[in-house]
Amino acid sequence: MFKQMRAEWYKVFTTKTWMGIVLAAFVFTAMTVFGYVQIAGTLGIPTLEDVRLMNLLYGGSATGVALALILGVVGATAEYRYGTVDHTYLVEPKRSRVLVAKLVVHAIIGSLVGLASFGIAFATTTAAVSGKAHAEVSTSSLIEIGLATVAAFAIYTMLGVAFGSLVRNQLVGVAATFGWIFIFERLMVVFTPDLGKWLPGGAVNGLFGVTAIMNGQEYLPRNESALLLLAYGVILIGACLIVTPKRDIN
Amino acid sequence: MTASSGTLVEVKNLSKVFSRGKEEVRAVTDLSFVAKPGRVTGFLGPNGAGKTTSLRCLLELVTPSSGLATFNGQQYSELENPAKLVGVSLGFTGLHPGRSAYKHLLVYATAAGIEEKRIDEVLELVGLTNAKNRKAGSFSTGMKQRLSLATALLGDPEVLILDEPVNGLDPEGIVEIRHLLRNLAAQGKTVLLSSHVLSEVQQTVDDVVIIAKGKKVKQCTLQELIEDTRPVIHVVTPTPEKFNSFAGGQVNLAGDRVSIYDTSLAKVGNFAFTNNIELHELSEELLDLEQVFLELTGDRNV
Repeated sequence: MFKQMRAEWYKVFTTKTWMGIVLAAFVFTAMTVFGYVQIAGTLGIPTLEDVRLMNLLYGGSATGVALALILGVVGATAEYRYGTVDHTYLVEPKRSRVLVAKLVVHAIIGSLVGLASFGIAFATTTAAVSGKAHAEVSTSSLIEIGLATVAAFAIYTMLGVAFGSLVRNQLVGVAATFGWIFIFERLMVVFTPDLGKWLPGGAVNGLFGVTAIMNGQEYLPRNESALLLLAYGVILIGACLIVTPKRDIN
Repeated sequence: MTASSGTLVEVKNLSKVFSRGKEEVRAVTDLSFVAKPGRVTGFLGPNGAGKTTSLRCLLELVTPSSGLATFNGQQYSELENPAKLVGVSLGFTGLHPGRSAYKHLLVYATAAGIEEKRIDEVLELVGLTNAKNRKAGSFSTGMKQRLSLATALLGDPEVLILDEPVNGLDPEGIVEIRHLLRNLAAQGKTVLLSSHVLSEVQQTVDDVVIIAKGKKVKQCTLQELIEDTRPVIHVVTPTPEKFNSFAGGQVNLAGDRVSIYDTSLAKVGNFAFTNNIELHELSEELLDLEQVFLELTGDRNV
């Protein structure tokens, strides 16, 4: 298993694809934080002196989890797009081992990207509110937000790998991911909030515990959100581990 | 059979039916053959004959509908470290365009637990040392084919399975691959290669398995296939009708041209001399192997 994990690590870092995705996640995070600081106190958004907004800023990378999902989808579908899946399963015909290695490696990478994204959110927030009156966020809250960021990125990257392994077509996988996150989930959260909070995106918001202030939507508490995300992970990863080993690779 | 005496590849009653909606497509039907150690076996057939599907079934990338394929009695997924026993090249696909040749090999060497120094050895073997840091996306088809072969050779395997290995290679490359494969077979390795063009691999293979429409139509040595060929003697003469009385072979007349099967130059020459026939041409079509191949695979309108 360790050999497979090393090979999966090399697969990610011997091309430059990951750089673009991770950079996009960082830019997304910084822009989100910067944007909220600029419009704080307007459009129904609380001022910087409201600790709920400060929590939201430090959790600004919540919007970047979409890119974590893309990272996983691309990691899995690239094998099929370029046909490298042949060699992958020829070296290790027990496909579930390869999938577990891929999931673990992507979870590690997702965690690291999540940690870095939290660092960017923290640095951007600190810089953006500098010299302005703002509420102080407790160290324990910061730690909770940091852990939520790492967990959300890790789980979303794994969900991406599982989804990508099931879909196999990269274009379809990426398009479906964007469509789900930026269209379907957004609409569900706005128009059917009671359902929206049960979706993965709603669970991420609940995990961060920061965005309920925006539209009055109450998400699930942090622990329940974490469990909900894990449940999505178990279902999707389970489906991937059952289906993928049985499929023909033509 | 132990590893030192080579690895026998055996395909037994292999069939594969794909379901496309309500339609069933029978790609391979009851295919059986063996590829022996120390020999190069050509797995031949026209495009769409079922060669690639058969090889993928053999390697368990595709699950057969029935039958099985084994390596010294073990199925591919049962092999302890398959990359060290079976090297595979499924053509010039399977390369990430953004990954260099060296790093491509590094990924699979790592997964198979093969030492990194072996990467330089296989790059040297296939003549890609100077291009090892170039990305596969910038490679020509021939270079991609070589890199795919290098991947197959990484584990110094007992068995090599190569799908259309000379596709896209220039004549020099074909000769190099031929020498390499002959050399590997001489070391006792089992080489199974597919091709849709017999003439491309004619000088490489010892044995042939010919399939058409998913079914085996012949398995024999190349020599036996050559012996199946029918020599044709071509004659050009102003009096072709005089050859109607030739009893030593099957005669076909077409204008001033006479084609005589199942005979020899000496017999025809002697007949012409004895019967005082004026000849403008007397020649033999020495090797008609491709035509035999096409007849077997049903690709020739005869």
